Amino acid sequence: MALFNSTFRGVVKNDRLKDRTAASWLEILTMDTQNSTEFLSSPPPLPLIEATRADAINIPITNPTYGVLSLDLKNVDYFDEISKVKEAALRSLSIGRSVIASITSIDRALSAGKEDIKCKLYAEVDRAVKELLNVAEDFIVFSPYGEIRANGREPYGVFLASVPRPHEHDTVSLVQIGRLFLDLVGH
Amino acid sequence: MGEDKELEELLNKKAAELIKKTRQLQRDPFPPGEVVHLDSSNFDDFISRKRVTVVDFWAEWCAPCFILAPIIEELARDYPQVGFGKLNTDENPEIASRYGVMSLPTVLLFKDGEPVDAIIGAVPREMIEARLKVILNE
Repeated sequence: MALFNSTFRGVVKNDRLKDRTAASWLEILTMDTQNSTEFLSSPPPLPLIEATRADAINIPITNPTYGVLSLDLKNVDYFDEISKVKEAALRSLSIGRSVIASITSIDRALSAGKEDIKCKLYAEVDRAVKELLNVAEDFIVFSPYGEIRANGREPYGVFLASVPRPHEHDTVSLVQIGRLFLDLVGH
Repeated sequence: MGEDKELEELLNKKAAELIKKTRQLQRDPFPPGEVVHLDSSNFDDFISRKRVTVVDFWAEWCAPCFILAPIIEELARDYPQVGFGKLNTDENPEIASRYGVMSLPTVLLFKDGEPVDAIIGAVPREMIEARLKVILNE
């Protein structure tokens, strides 16, 4: 709540790709609309990573995930994923690299029906985000979609950033998140 | 005789269908315990149906509105005698402006179809509940 009240906040809207993890992330990393269905066998060119030279950490466009940290989403423990992503991100930030990182634990746990550990996972993610934001100069914290419900994921995700969203009275799209990060880091 | 029996069956079937249709129309369009999605077609009917109603004015781009939404859903379940609805202000600007809703989220409390209280912002459940209880006890 402290972060929510002290940063620029908004809502990510992802109607079309909310149930497609890899395609959602590809829209961000290509800054263009995507139509792929599921995880890729190998990543295509990723303009956002190329332009910003950011370290990709655990990005779920492939499985095992893509980046300097690559995890097998079928096997990695929910809590281990959070700590591994945090450590990898801290390492990259400490050497002045920009970071694009993903934590899939909450989504994976809810997909597996593990509602009972949801709050603990959120608490762990909170702690990890706090550590990272103490080190980062600027940040965008977002979810490309909402929680899983009976009919699939909610299309609305969080958006908290050290920079304003593109339009005050509008939701934020996945493509806009990519472009915002590009502007933050500088081309 | 066979013809009459067939005709009788057909008439009975038609009558049953008519009765089912009539019952469906009479069913409450605003079921208790749920948050109703409101628009210009059902808003006025909604606020006049129950003695006390609560309307959550929201928009898709409003992050605090998403924090408030589950609180309104909880209150709807806990106070089935009260009508709870939500109105998207981007899709229904005329209703929002009728009540002077400028900030989001805004929760308006209605009594006998008239607005009697307003709560602005994503406030804790206890705040909305306290204001609701005042109106219910009047």
